[in-house]
This record gives sequence, structure tokens and C-alpha cells, in this order.
Amino acid sequence: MRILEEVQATLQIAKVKEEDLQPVTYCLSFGDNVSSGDYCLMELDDTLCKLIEAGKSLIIRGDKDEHAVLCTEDKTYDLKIADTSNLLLFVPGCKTPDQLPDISASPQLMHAQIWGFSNCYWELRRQRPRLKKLKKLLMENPYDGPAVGMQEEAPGLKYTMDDLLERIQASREEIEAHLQNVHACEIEGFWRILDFDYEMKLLGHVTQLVDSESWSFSKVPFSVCLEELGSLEPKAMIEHCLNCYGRRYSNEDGQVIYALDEDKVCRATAQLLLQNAVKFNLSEFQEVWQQSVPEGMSARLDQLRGLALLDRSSKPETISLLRIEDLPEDTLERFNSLFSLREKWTQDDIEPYIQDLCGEKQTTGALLTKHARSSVQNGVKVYNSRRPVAT
Amino acid sequence: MVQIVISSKAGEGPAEWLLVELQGEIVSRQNTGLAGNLMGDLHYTKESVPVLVVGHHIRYGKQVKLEKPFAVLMKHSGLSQDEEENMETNQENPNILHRFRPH
Repeated sequence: MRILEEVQATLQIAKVKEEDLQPVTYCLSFGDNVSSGDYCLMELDDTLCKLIEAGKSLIIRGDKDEHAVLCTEDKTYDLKIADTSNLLLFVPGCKTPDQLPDISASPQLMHAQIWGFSNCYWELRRQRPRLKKLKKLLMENPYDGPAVGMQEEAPGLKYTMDDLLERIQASREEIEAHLQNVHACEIEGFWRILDFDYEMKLLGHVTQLVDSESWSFSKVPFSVCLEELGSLEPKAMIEHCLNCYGRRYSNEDGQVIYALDEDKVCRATAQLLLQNAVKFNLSEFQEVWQQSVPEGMSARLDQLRGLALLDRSSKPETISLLRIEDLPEDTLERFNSLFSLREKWTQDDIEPYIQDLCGEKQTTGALLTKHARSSVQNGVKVYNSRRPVAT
Repeated sequence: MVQIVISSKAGEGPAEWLLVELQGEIVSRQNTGLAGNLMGDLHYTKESVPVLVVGHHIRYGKQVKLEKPFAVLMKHSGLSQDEEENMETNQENPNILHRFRPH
């Protein structure tokens, strides 16, 4: 083991004046573990740092054919290797001048071991989680009501939350939020997505009841709903429908009431109508749509952002179903897909279909600048693809 | 899907270590591997400038605060049947990065 005298001798040879130095010197040597390769370096951000300090766990997830991601309870990060041209050594137990004792102490030699070294590290970048797979998995076996009579429910794949966590590259909270978005329901421990027609059947029961009882759609009494509709459908499903399409609250008498969400109900009704044909005459559609929604609700085109696309250039004007969830998840593929559907888009028309692609602090304008080319047509700014697209 | 859990030792937070950045490579002279070998002496001048003496080379450095903290992940083979590997973290002190350049 190296001693102080040897260190001082080296300093003399190197012509470094001992009086210019502080008294404590660290003799660095390589520990046993350095060549094991069983370690790596990862860059953190403040949030992750605090999580680790608080003892929380992080999970790296990925299938063989996927890029690995790192998940916390509520966020997802992309993992990328960054090379440095330099060598990074990690030394535990080595102090810096501000942590060392007073300058006037006598020369002292301390020993520190280099625990490991690396010339690369993992970089983390916050990313939107890839959740499209979630709906795809649940759509393998949509729920369309309880088994009828003696029939057992048709066999098919069903997923619990743990199953989903093992297949989806996202954090638990992001998965839970998305399950709510797609109106999934936990039935007997499995997460199920409702067959759309079944979901509309449930909603139809509720809206027809509201109509026949002449209730205000913002004051739907929960217990009466269950009483009246419980014979038609499972009570849990009635409640699920109310939760998806309304807001639950208690009135002054402590009764549970639901306020149906006009936008959500009108939107679902529109989807039901639009899915039956490729295109509709816009004015005809608007008429039928307004007649189909509950009394007192206003069907408005702005409710259909991300669901339907208007073509104001055709005569007559038309509307067709275009759901954002049917489009590719990858940014480049999404833009290609949108530009092959329509050559030129106004920002207002394309915005609902690219909003979810925005990174943290990125605007749709910035996205468009990056992935599209703009021009002015009839006094209006339009965007088209940067590259040739097959139409 | 592979799931790798990263956790830090229960009870205490991860320890803080020093990160030393050097230009170039380190190779052991007789190719016997680095473990157990001396690397060099780390001194600090009275002005708190880090000085590293490696063999006959002197490198003057700079103490720099890391923009973003680093974590050292260590592999722990899992004992469970599913593919879970546990890694422990030790954290690089965000205040210390000795950057050494040839002088």
C-alpha cells in the first residue's frame, strides 16, 4: 500500500510544490469490481433524483423488439446510450476541498478505491407513452354484455392490471388514465373494453329514461336509474355508463345524482351515425345528429374534433369519420397518414390529429414547422407533406 | 416483456460518490487487468484546484457541478422466477465532477 513518503517523492519528481497543496491527498486505486461490467451509469433529472432519494423504484420495460423505456409511477422515459470521448470514474468516499478539514493540518494520505468506470451512460428523455397497444389488446375480446341464459361467456384473452403492466411500455398511472379514456371497465378482475354497440345500447337506455321521465340531463338520479334499468342490464354496467358519460355528485338531500356531459353524449352519438358510411352530406348529417341527441342538448361541430373530418371544399360539403385512435402512433407515420388522406391541411383541421404528438413544452406549430411545409392557398395558410406521399 | 427494477437500499438514501472525468483511456501496463492497481494521487491546491498525478503525468483539473445527477446502477441477479433483475443505485454527487485535461 502506497505511503505518504512515496507520494511526497512523486510530487518532488513531478516538480509540484507541496506547500501549494492542501494536506489531504487521496491515493486512488482500482477496486475489484471495476472490470466486472455489472454496472452502468445513468443520467437523471431532478424528479427522478428525488424519487430515488425517497427510496422509490423505477422500472425498465421492454419486449425484445421494442426500445427500452424507464417508468416511474406516473411517467415514461426513453432510454438512449450516449457516448463520451472521455473516461468517467466513480469514486465513493472521496471528499472535495470544501468537505475536508482545515488547511493547517499536517499532510495526510487517504486511500480511495475506484469502484467503476465508463465511457458511456444512459440518457433519459421524457416521452409520451405508447398506449395504442393497450386498446389493441383489449379489443381482442370486447365485452358486449353478460352471458345470455346458460351460455358461458365466449372464451378469449383477458387482462388484469398486472398483465397490462407487463405488456405496455408505460407507467401505471398513464395506463390507468388511458383505461378511463377508452371507457374500459374492470369486470371480475379483468380490464375489458366495451363493444361500441353495447356501450351505445347502455347510453341509449339512460337517455331514453331521462327523456321519458322528463328529467334535466344534468340531474339524473342514480338510484332511480338503477331501479328502472337494472332489469335490462347489470347495475354495474349502468353505473359504468353513467361514470363515462356524466359527472357524479350529491345533492342537498345527500342523493347521488349524475350530470350527463353534453359534449361526450353528442360525440358518441355522432360516432354511431358516422360509422355507418364512408361520407355524409354535412347538412343532412347535422340535422339527423341534432335529432338523435337527448332533448335539451346541442350538437355542435366543435365537439367532433379528433373524431370527424369536414370537407368544406367539396360541393355539397361532407363529413366523414376519422378517429385519432385509428391513426399511427409514431410521429412520422402519423403525418404520412394524414397527408395521404388529404394533401393540404389548415392548422385548425390538422391540430386535433397531432396534438398528442407534442413533446413536453412543444406546440403544434413547432411540430408542423418540423414535419410539414407551409404555403398559402386562397389567402389561407395550409400545410402539406415535406416528402412525396402516396395518395 | 423484460422488467428490470431499479431501487436504492432501503432505509438510507443512496450514497453520494465522486465522478472523475479524464481524457483518454486507462490500460494496465502488463495487461493484467486493472483491479487492485494504483491509479494515481489526487491532490488539491490551496486554491482548491484538483491535481491528479498518474505515473509521470500531472493533470490539473476543475471542480464542476454536474448539470444533471448521475446514478450508478449495479446488477443484482434476481432470485425470482420471472425475469427481474434488480439494480441498486448509488448517486453521483451533483456537486462534484473533476475534469482533468492535459496541462
